[in-house]
Amino acid sequence: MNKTKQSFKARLWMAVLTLTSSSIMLLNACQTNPTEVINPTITDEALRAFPGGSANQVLQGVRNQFSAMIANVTLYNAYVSDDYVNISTFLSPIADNPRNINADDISLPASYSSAQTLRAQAEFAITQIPLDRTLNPTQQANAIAQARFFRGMALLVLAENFANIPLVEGGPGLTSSQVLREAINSFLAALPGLASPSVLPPGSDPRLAINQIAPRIALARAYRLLGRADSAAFYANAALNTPGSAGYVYRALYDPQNFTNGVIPFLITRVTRDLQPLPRLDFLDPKYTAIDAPIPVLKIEEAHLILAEVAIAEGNFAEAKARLKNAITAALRPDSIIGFNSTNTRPAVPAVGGFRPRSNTLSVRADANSPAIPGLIRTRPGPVNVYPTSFTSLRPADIDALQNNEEELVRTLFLLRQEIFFLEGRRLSDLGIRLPLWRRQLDVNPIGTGPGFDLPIVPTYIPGFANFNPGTHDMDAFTVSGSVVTCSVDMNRVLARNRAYPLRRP
Amino acid sequence: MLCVGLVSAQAQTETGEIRGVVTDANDAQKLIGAQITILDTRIGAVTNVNGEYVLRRVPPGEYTVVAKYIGYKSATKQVTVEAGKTVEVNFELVPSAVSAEEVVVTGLAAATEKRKLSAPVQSITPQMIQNITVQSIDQLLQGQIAGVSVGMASGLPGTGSRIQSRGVKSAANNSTPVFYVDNVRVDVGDNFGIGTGGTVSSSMAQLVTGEIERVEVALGGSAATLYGTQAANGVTQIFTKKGVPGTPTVRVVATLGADNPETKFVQEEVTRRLFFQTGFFQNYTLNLNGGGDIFTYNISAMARSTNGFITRNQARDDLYNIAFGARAIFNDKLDAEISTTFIRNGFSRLNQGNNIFAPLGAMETGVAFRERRFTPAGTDNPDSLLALWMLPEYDENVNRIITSLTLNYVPFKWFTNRVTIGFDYNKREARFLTPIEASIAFGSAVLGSITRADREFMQPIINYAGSIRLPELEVATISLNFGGEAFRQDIRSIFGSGQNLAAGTRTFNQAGIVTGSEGVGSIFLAGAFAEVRAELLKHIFIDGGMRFDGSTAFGRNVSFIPLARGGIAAILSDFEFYPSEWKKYISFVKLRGALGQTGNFPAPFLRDRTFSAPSFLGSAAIAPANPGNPDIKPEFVTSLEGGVELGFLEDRISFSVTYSATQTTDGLFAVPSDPVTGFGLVQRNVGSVFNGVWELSLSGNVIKITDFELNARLNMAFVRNEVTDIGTVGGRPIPEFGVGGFAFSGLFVSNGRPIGAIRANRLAQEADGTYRGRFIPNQFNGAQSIPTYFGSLTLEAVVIRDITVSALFEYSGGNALINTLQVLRIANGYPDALARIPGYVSFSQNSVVNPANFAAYGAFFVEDARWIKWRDVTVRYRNAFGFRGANLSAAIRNPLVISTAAAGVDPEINWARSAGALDLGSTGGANLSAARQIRFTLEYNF
Repeated sequence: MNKTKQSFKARLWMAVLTLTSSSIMLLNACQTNPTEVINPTITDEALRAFPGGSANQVLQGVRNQFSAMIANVTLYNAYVSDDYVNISTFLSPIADNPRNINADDISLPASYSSAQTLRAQAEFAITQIPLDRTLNPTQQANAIAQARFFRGMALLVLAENFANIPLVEGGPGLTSSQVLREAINSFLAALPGLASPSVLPPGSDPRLAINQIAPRIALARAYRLLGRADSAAFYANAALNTPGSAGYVYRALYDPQNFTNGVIPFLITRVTRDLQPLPRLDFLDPKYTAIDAPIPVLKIEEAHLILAEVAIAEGNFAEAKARLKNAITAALRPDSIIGFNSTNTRPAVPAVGGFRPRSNTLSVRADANSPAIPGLIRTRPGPVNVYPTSFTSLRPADIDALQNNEEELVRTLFLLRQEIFFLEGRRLSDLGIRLPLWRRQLDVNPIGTGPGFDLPIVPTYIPGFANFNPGTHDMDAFTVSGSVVTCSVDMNRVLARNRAYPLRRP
Repeated sequence: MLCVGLVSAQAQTETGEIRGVVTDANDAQKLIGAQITILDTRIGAVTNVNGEYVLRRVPPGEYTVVAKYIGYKSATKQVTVEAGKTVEVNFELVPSAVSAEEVVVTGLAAATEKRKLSAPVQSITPQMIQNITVQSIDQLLQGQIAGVSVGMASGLPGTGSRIQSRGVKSAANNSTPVFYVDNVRVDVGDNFGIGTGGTVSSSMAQLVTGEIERVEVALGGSAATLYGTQAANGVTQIFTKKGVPGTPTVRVVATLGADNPETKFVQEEVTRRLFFQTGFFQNYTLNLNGGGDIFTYNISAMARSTNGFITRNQARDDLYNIAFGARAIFNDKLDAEISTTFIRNGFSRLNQGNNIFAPLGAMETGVAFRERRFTPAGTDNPDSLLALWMLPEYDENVNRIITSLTLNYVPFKWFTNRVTIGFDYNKREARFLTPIEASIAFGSAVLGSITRADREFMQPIINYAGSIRLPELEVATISLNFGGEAFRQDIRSIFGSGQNLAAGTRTFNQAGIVTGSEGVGSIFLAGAFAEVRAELLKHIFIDGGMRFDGSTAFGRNVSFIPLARGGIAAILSDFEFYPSEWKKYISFVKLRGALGQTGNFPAPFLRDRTFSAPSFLGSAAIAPANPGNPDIKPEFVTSLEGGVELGFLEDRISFSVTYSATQTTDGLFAVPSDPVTGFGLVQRNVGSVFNGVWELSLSGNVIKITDFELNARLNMAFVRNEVTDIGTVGGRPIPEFGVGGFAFSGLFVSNGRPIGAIRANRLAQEADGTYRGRFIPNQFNGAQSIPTYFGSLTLEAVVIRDITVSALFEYSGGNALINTLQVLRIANGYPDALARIPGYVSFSQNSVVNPANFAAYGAFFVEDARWIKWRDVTVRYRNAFGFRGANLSAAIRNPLVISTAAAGVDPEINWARSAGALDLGSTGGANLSAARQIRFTLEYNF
């Protein structure tokens, strides 16, 4: 018994010894090479440890996000508005009718989150740039000014598309006006710094440079939306008076290798992702033809159009007509692509009218009471001209022929805005529609429910689908009779009639 | 750890010999491969083709000789060995459906009989392996293990199955078990390289079954605790052949056959006519097996090839395998086992995506072949069109080496040690070429492209397990077990792509736009365990232990995690109080219960706030990536299980039932950041998941008459999975989040529902019964992706001893799938698909809903995903026509799909493998079922 006991103890000791020694060996192993693991991605620590030169990379990240925001907003605006109809895509099937959209909409998050991300990234850049000791004070001021400009653009896009916008984690939802004022502050703060040459990564595309025209157009746009005719006119004129304003355009650029134009897949092959334009706008489609085609964001045309709107608001119709003609002249840019082979067949879809107009023998009526205008529809497939920056179906003579009344002028103003800003993400704002916030925003920060929060704000003048022809869409609906295509509604006329524009006559 | 000296060989001059024959007690048939060992020694042998064995150089003395054979009760005999003499000891083994005496090692520090386990370790025996026809380990698991659901991800080469063992424990990690080959942890990852639609490559496809001796499966829970924080889904261990002592045998195997497409789910006649071919399959194996008392070996070379069941050989699969396994016995204290296997696999696959280049999509759901509307080549001839669609080429090559060296050192009878060192090296290269002519024909903006993906996986491992048996006390025998394991995993991947190719090039650098990227991931994990096992009153077995794990999943902070287990098992039928008259009917009664913890580590570096820096217009562009979670830790999976094992009619029939309740706590759920921060989802330990699983297994001999025997095995499992707590952040419940499927109809994690509950837009019915396009978005309708019941039936008939016919049937159900095939067919106006929409007629009259806008119809096509399949039938004829050593077999894998409910899709196949780690299946599209694999094999041993 005694012997057994001793042996029991001895074996127990052996177990303990083996266990201890193997644990020590394992612990030792943990301190040698096989455990060495380095996080290969960029951490805060890595950014802090490498301050030299990081300003350019952080700013490039902001530019990349700006391009992302513009592409997302452009796409969503295109098919929620009357500009395009969603034929067959992975995009939200219900968003074609803006009243159907809610916070859970599958295609909404891209617009909202890319704008909020741009804002957050720009704010991060503003704090990060001063850490870069390779920049001299002028360069640093310019780099920060660029970041402020992008912050302003993010706020502008948020205000154009949404109604209650939190700007800090857990913060209250600010109104569009509040956000516009915040955007204005950003642009004003950016203006002085943008006087100096833009700090850009070596060998960059010069189109990335931001001069003072861009923030001035943006300020005019923001003041217009606030209904501040005087300030809008001031900055529109300031933009026009800045050297180099003729033909000016600031674009969101895309990278053929890494970050392509997100609208392109819906415009070229259109086999599995197909959006189709309103027949009245057929001649503008496709605006972009290459995977790296830039999207215009701030164009000098906008200054003319704002000045026209200011003149209408002042009742100065002659001045307004002059401004509209200036806008048309500016929009007829020389950069069109002649004879692009449009392979798109404008497919027949049995349940949506069975036919999409695709011949230049057809003329289009903007609504049942409008004249049939030829030349708006191109024959497809076939060679078409593409206008990558601006174009319009109107000519100065059309403006001269207009009656001198507010409705006609405003209707024409909105038609010009629709054509000139085609596929630039501007139409929802013009239609007065505000999108709901993304559900995730409301989940983590429940600032409210109802229109402007989890539901859209859709003005009553936006027609409901029940008023339209069977089997077609609401604002995109049309009928074909003989060689005339009749759009169900001329939204530009609706906007004019309902005085749904920021700079109105009192 | 390796400082284990070779102990000098004992003098072997004066020794004796034990010889004998092992036979079946019922019919005196010789048993080949029975294990004969002398208790408490290293001496052992295996019977040869004549059922004979010999134990040489046995020192004189009294011994207990044990004979074991799977499917039989083991037998022991006492012998006295005298110097220079031979004792004859013959065994007649009694068949038994209760595998209580089978020895397993997985999840244990020392080899242990199954009867002593408080949590079952199931095994796939050599006989089971012989009776089915499979090509990779996941196929081998199909239908063989109670509680494990193995769903084929695709019928295409290079893919691996979706394995769920006792449900799904995590919303962040894959449900695939950890796999070991001869104690070496191996790569079974998937979802890497280039996606060909929803079909992804898996490293499981290269774990070939040629030289597998047996497989052990420890389901997640207490059986896997000793594998620690990675073993929440259990451990599957493969043991390779190491050779049998005796005259060297040469085995030559030739298999010829056909891969015949399963066209049950094909929708269009043109597809059935043009898309498939019957592939020619061939497989040749040359095997050398033999050795003596101190060294045995098994060397094998195999070449396998098929041109596949898709036209133009786009499901080609060629595989070469050289395997070497050996065991060296240095003396009665030390032996070594080595195994190494080299695999080269090359295969082709076609694009199954939902894009214009996907041939099957174009034929089955697209408009190209139906309306001949999209005629890219200026032709509407289906043959010419298909030729165009088949232009893109996807090829992948895999080179893989798995090596294991195990030393078993037994300094004393009561002290065993096992050390294994090994590695798995897995190098894959994939290449996807879209030639210029295809791009031109399809009007693509990119003129020809090559995408190239390389992945290099290296995982060295060292593990140790020791066991000390304390001296026997009157009422108890106690063992102390302990051990540890450390491995490092390095995965390096490189992607390259070229767009706008130079004419005729096959390298991506000769192109207009060349891009490249790199991925690096490393993880180190180490763990140690200690365990006590006790036998009380000979028939009660108690165990309890701890494992401590540390991992670099947190970056530099290696955190140590304790995990505990404990269990008890009692064999009531072995106690004296068990009435002997009961024994006639219920011959074996075992009760068991166990509690154990395992875990799941988060992906590396989730603790840190990180930024990405993609290239944009020639400069790195820094962007927010992961907001970081400084509190992140592993998921804990606690499992409580209990079971009863019964043997009836002298163990002719066995039955077992197990219920396990598994609770995942600190579940890693994807929690959204406030969008104003610019960051997205962050993994937080907030969720709880419950899995309640019943496993039933019934097996035994059904009929036994002269020259005919029928055995059957039935496995059934019932799974209840529920997210019991989705967790809160900042006092608010975390919103439900997607884990698969599509945006319009996806698999979600939502409070009180199973992981992967299906959420879809629902079209609302109007008062007059019509549907006019009003939507109710994001509705759950009770459908889920995890099967709630599944199981299998194996029948095995032995006719005139030498002919074995076996059949395997499988079923699965209780879940649903998103039938994208029908959604896409509606989009393109196929009349039969349109007719599936309730109230369809009214659509064209007074609705704004555009059938082409297929996303709207997600809800309609959440369909029942149940299936019943005849998985395998194999006929083996041993010693065919009287030729000794000549075996013939004929087999069909996947002979028949017996029943499915979803319209036009194989519910087992996952059409769109989601992007994350978790794979829940449940998407149906224009996908490809596994071919009917017809095999004729001639095997000759000489």
